[in-house]
Amino acid sequence: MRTELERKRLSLRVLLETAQELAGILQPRKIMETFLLTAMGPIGAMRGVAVLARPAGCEGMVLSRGLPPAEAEALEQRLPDICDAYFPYRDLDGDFPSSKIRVIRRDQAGGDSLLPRDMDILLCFNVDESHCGLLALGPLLSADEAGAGAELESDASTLLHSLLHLLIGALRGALAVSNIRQLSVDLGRKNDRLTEALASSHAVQRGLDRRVHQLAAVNELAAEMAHLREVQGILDRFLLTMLGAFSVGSGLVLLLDRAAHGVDLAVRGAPDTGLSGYAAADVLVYKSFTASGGRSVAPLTVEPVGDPAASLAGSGLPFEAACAIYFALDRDVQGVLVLGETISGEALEDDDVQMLRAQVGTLLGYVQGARHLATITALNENLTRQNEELTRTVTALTEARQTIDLLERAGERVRSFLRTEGQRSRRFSWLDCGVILVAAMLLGFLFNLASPNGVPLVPEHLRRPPAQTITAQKARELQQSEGALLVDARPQAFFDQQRVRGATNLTPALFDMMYLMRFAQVPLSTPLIIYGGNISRRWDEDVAAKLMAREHERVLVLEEGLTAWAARGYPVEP
Amino acid sequence: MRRNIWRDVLGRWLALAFRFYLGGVFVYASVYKIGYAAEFAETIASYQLVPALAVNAFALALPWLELICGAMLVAGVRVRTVSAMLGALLAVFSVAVVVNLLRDTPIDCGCFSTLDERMTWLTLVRDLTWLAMTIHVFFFDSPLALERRYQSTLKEIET
Amino acid sequence: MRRTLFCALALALLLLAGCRGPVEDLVGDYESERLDLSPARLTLRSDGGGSLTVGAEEAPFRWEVRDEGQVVLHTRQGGVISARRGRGMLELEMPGAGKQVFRKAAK
Repeated sequence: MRTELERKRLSLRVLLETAQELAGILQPRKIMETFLLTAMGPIGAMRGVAVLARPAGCEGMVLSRGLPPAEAEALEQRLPDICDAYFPYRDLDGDFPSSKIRVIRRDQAGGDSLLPRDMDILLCFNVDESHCGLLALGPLLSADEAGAGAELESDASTLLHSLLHLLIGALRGALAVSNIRQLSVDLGRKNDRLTEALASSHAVQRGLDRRVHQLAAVNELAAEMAHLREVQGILDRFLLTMLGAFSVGSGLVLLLDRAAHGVDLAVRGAPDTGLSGYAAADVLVYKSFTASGGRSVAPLTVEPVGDPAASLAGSGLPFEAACAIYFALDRDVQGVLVLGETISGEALEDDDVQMLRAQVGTLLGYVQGARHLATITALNENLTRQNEELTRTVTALTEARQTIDLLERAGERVRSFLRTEGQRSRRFSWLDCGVILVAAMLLGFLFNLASPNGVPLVPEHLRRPPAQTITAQKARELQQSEGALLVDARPQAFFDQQRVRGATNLTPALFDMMYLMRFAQVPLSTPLIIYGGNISRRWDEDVAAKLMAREHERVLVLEEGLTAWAARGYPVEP
Repeated sequence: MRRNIWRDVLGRWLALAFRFYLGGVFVYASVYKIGYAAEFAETIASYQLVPALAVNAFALALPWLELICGAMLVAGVRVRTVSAMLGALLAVFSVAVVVNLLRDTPIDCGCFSTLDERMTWLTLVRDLTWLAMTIHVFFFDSPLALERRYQSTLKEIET
Repeated sequence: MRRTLFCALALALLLLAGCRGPVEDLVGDYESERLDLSPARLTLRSDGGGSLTVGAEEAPFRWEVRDEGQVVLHTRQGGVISARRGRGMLELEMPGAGKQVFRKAAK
């Protein structure tokens, strides 16, 4: 009895010591080692092997005690086989009976050769859902006494079970601790990773913000530039927007037109250092072209300039070039965009450069549009001018046609006039008669005025008092009594035809000559009786006047003339 | 064809001959009268038909009328009018001649110059012949007229 | 063309009229022979003028030669005296007084 109690007390002590030993240990290996050490003694085993494995992963640890080192090492090498042999239910997922302890008899075990010989006690146990353990002990001291293969005493078996329960508990705790530790470590790592991800997401956020800002600026630029019609304005606006979008303090855009020999320049944040001059601008553009990747001036080329600070040095830039983009609209029109340092001092990223490049491409589109617009405007103006000229020409033509019409009408009038004249030449015209008569009279009178042999228009006898007259009877008496001389004043033909007998012919026309020759000796006192006159001419009056002018005292005109004389029956001849 | 030629000769070309003849006669007749207006006035007075007031005016204008009409007739200007006027003149002359022949006035014709041959019935015949010529000229269109030149020029222009 | 012709014709007619002018051998002084009339001297000048002088008075005239040796004297008043030219003399047809012979005076 006492022995019984002693044994019980011993067992309890062992259990207590073991529990104390195992209490502070957290590592499973250490636990296993300690357990093996403490358990072999009370059980009375000379050698012991303990295996803790995870059947799912065929991994684990093999601890041995009392085995020669070579055998221990070989045992460790055979861990997977041991797992296969002693943990056949490992495939059953998650259905390990908790703390189930199986006592395996040697003859029952399949992998006899796996473990060292004379392992009398073989126990398999589950630690938790994923860990299994194996404990082999032997040979027992007591068995030597009781015979090989003797059954373990029930006390010892209970002790062993209790010990195992302790082990399992310690292992569970250690595994849990290690699990927790592992979890904590994982947690920490994850935490680190999360922190990193957060940082990178912040960076991305910043980049996105900047891009959004840039895109917003670009959008704004597009909206604004759509209204700009002039290249200079577009450049100004573009540069301003780019500076704002990429947070750059200074920059310039230069557009060189080789065909028109002109330069469009926009500078911001720096003074203009004479780049608007064609030669300087040409140098800058050429430098940027050679420094850019492009080898040919293809239309709508946009190429970033490599190492702008070095390649563009000495071309008169008013600031340090941090980024430059060469662009060509076509063979003649090229340019460069140069940006200085950003305000924050950071260099522009590749994305920014690409963005910038894309924007320059857009700029090219606008510039081309503006240039086309200018061309169209010029063409339009040209057209307008041509239109005006055409209008003028049409007006001139219309005037000319009117003139021609007028001339034609005039010609028609002249023609009709000539035709009328021609017809008139064949027609009798009273007007022509009148004209000819008037012309004849005018010419006659004018000629008469100028002629030395002119005649008076009005008969002379009407302008003087009529001469004294005498009747035929008295005349006859006078002729007979006083020897009055009868003078015939009519022209010779009339005188020759019939005359008063003894009359003398003295016409006014020949008065001077005839008077001188025939009347010069006639005494002035002799009465002179003159006759001869008709409806057209009073010759008698004329002669009488002339005779009186020659101071003949008695000059008388015979009334009724020769007619009266003849009617009275006085003598006539022939 | 033959008839046309004859009509031409008896119409147009005879009219041309008459024009030249009559024109020449009148121009020739006018020259002396213009030079010796006083003598022509005496001649008119001898006819005893024109009132005393008009005699001198007559003597001045008539020669010029003859000259103008004769010249126009030769030149072929206003041929119809001129021939009509000359015809009228000749008619007046004829009447004057007839009157004075009937009166038995012993005067010269005075047609060309003062000391002409004595006026006889032959003078009347001559005047009437000339009158017939003017009538012929009046009715027949004659070539070589100065005014026709416009006509031909006009045709040239129009074609 | 015709106008020139006419001008030439008219000129010729005028010349024809004017050229019946003075003939040189007619120019000179003539003495009258008739005794019943006053002794008179007739002068024909080469410029176509002439005069009849009786005593101290003289009457001017113009003269021209017509065909057949006929000489015509024109007075200013429109009178005409016809004369026939003979050898060294002029025979004037004095109206109402018959012929009057003027002999050319010796120079």
